[in-house]
Amino acid sequence: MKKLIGLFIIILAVIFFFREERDDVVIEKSVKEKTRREIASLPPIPDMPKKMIMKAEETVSRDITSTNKEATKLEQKIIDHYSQVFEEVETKVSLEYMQTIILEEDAHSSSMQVYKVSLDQGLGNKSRFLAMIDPETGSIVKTWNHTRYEFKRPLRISGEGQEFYADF
Amino acid sequence: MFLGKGMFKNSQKNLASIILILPLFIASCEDPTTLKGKGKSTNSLGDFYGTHKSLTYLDSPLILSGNPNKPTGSFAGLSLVPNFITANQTLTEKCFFTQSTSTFTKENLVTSNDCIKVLLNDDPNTLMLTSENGSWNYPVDSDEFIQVNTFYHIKKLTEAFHKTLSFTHDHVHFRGNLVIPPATPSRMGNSFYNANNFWLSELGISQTLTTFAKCNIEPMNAYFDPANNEICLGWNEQYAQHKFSMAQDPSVIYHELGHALIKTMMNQRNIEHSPTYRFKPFQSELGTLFYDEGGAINEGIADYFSYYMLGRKRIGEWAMGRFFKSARPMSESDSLHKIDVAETFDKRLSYPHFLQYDPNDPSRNYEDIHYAGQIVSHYLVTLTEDFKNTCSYPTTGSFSRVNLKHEIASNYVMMLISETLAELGDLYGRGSDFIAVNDYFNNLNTDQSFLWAHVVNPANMRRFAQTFAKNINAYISSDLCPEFSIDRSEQLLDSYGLLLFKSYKDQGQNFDGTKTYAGLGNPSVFAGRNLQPQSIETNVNELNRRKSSLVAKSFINLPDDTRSVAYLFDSPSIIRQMLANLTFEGANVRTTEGIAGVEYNNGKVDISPGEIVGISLNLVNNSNTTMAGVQILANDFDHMEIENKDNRYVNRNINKLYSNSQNKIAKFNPCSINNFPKVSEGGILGGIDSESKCDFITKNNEQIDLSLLPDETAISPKYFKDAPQPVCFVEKMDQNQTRWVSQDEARTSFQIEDHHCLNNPLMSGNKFNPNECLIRMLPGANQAILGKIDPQKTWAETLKGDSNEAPIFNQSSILLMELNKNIPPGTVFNCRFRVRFSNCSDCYNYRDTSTNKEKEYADYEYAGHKPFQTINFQFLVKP
Repeated sequence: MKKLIGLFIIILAVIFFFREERDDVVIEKSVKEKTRREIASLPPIPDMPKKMIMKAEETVSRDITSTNKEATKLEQKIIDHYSQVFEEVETKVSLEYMQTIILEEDAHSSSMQVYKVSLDQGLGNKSRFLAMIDPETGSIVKTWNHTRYEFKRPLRISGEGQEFYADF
Repeated sequence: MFLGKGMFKNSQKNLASIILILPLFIASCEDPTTLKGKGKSTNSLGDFYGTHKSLTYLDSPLILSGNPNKPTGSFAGLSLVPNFITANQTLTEKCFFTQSTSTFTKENLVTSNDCIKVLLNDDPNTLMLTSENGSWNYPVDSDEFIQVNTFYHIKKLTEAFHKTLSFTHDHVHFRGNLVIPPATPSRMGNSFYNANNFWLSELGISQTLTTFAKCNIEPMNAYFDPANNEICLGWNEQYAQHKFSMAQDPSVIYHELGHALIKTMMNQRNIEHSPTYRFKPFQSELGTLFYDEGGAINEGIADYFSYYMLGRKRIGEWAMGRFFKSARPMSESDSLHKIDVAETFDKRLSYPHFLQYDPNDPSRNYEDIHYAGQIVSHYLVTLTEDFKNTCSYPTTGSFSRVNLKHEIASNYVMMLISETLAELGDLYGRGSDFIAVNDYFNNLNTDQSFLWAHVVNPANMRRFAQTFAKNINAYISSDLCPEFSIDRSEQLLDSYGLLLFKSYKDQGQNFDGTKTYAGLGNPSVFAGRNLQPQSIETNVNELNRRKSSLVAKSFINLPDDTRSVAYLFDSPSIIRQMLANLTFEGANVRTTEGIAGVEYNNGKVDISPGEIVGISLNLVNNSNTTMAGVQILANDFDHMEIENKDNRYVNRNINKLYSNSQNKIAKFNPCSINNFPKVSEGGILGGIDSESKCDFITKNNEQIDLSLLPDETAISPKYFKDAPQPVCFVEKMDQNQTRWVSQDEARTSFQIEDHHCLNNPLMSGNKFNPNECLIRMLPGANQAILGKIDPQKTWAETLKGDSNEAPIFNQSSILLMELNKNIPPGTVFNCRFRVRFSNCSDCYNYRDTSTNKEKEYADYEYAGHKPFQTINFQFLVKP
């Protein structure tokens, strides 16, 4: 009974506490809501770099000529590359498409695709990172957000017999 | 004290709330403050119905039991404390952040998504734990108990961090002296619409950090995955008999969560302005792969998070120390140290001497970011203790961590860390909202900032210490705690060997060496605030430099005696393993299929056509002082001169098809650096310091221009005038003359077509550069880090120490190079590697002859050779 009364009082207190409009100094809102409201009144972005800008796919203006074409089966191409590198260690490769980035340079533009690459060698040994990939060539342009392990196991290589002399 | 005066304006309403809550508070006092966990028989869910509480462990079973040899991780019989978990049905919570909007007003923000979540493991079928009738009190030691406790500690640190970050923002923007522009972003003005920078964010949307409390992993480990925003706290069957899991140790939970918070702080300035405007997809990391000093700083700060929360000066006694002998001390007075260190000036755990020191096995040298990071954690803990003993504090007030003094002092240190990381990780190039648009003060510019922040001018011990010390001067010594003077700050840094800089670079990385904060401020952002940026550079008092030895870069070179110049790895199995390892970690080491590959490797410890070769330069330290944080750069830089700046088209098939470009093909020649190559051998002297000349360094590091000319219908790639170029060039015999020429010129004489080049247009598209047609440093392995080189020794001799065995090389010290299979044997190459180290006296600053004062290099100058020792690595390609 005592607990039920306590619970009732809490509920009342919580409702009362959050009902009050603390409009003098504190505005309670979610970040998402806040940004939604602000977009409508966004003035032109004042600090956009002049030379090169990057935009999300949905904001690309239509008068820009894209000069690279998306390769067919790009994802298979990337997976094939990883499979080839890991032919000696069983590695499960998976890709998650994240977004397309348009690189603009003056009148020229090229699109890049961002993928989340997951590599799983079993027993919980995983590596994940984001990769920006040129869809035309399948080349990895940049990677970031690499997994950080507590106990690192870098490859250690003996220098026995590997001395190199500039003796030409 | 950090909530601001506004909180008390609605005092009447608040009072009513308090009156209503008071009975609950009194009722809660009936709970025992600590209970003994007795397994499944007592303290069941029913005891906590409606309270949203659970019994929690405030420290590891080893600490709570006081038994360093505790055989199991069971909490049965140990002191457990009832604590509020969450009112949500699942182990999830949103994050709240109080943002100052003026000296007197604040705004409360909350993430749109849950910011934290705890699951048992990463199995896709794992269900979320739910509370039962408002109780989280599952049986002690159960899987549910571990999840609830993990959540409790994740939430506890997250809340503490946000409280500290609120204090930081409020102080640096509104209450401090404002003698330097704040690095953490501003909520004011018209340039920041989205202040969602207090948490992990993608596309302007806050992300959920998921922690797996029992993450099955063998061998035992824990990790932070910033791509998925996940923390894995290890557990496996091998240690089941010990009822062991890493989540039983809150210090390790704090450490791993610390990595996520470091990511947040590093990227405070990289959050896009609104969800529809994607500025950059990239994010900054403190440290790259394997060993580097940025990684060591990251680990040191992550350890500090444990001290910040618990006040204890050791981390991981249970989860890392009990079975793995990997616990780490954070104070010289810790008994874990088996060497002669103490809390005195002479006996601090100083840089670089203790870089490879494993306190659990001091007899060996071990190059690892966690051990190197101990120098940073020891320094940060000592600094906090110094603040506690030196500064004046309020004696009353609420606190949530350890005690009031600890909370305030560690808040000061965390403020310094936040400001420092916000600046170091800035990919926007400005370093502060105060800096006007397109004036870049940090990491060169928006296009190159990722390269600069991670490779060309990354956060090493020097850059971290310098930026951190600048913030101490601005926010502590001349502000919050005048008792902690600049001299005292310098002396403490010096006791740790970290006084590695000569001036504080108050004015940022500075675009061209002439602009100042004072001249470039954006007043609209800081309207109403009395920002008074300093217009002078603060210099270090050289009398305070007693332990931090600096060495001139000329003392590092390749050995000129009988010692080997490098260790070379070309065995197919080793190279295959290296490529797999680097690829697994996320490095881009893709080779040019069909033109070079491991299938051509012959394992003869020679450099042969088609091979992929690993090179660890055997640099020698000719000084009497240890060199540390040695970085070898093999990325493109501005070291060649275009012969005619009007002829800039790249020598490739597409440019030979059009009249605009076919007669304007570019030709590059190597600049003469330190008299190599000589003019008679094709070297170009600096000449007039004008654009396109050798003495002129590119200000933007742009390489290939893809813009269309008005009368062109197709892309005709051309170089920018001062385009950075690959590091290797070729010796060419012309009748009786020997000249050093570009790879492009050499491949033309060898009649190698575009599609037979390394990184040919099939791989590189429009960015194809024939100056890497024959030799190419693989992008994911084009820098090497050597932890330290002992005085008068080579790198290999340092690795060997007193051992008679062959040196063992870490992958981080090896560069990878691919060779075109079409190179004629007998061809001689010269690769120009740029080398510097953290305790270098002239790699970051120079004597300005006009003023006779030391001056820091501006960011753009790292695109050239001056801040570096240039190492010429020459070799003959053998069959």
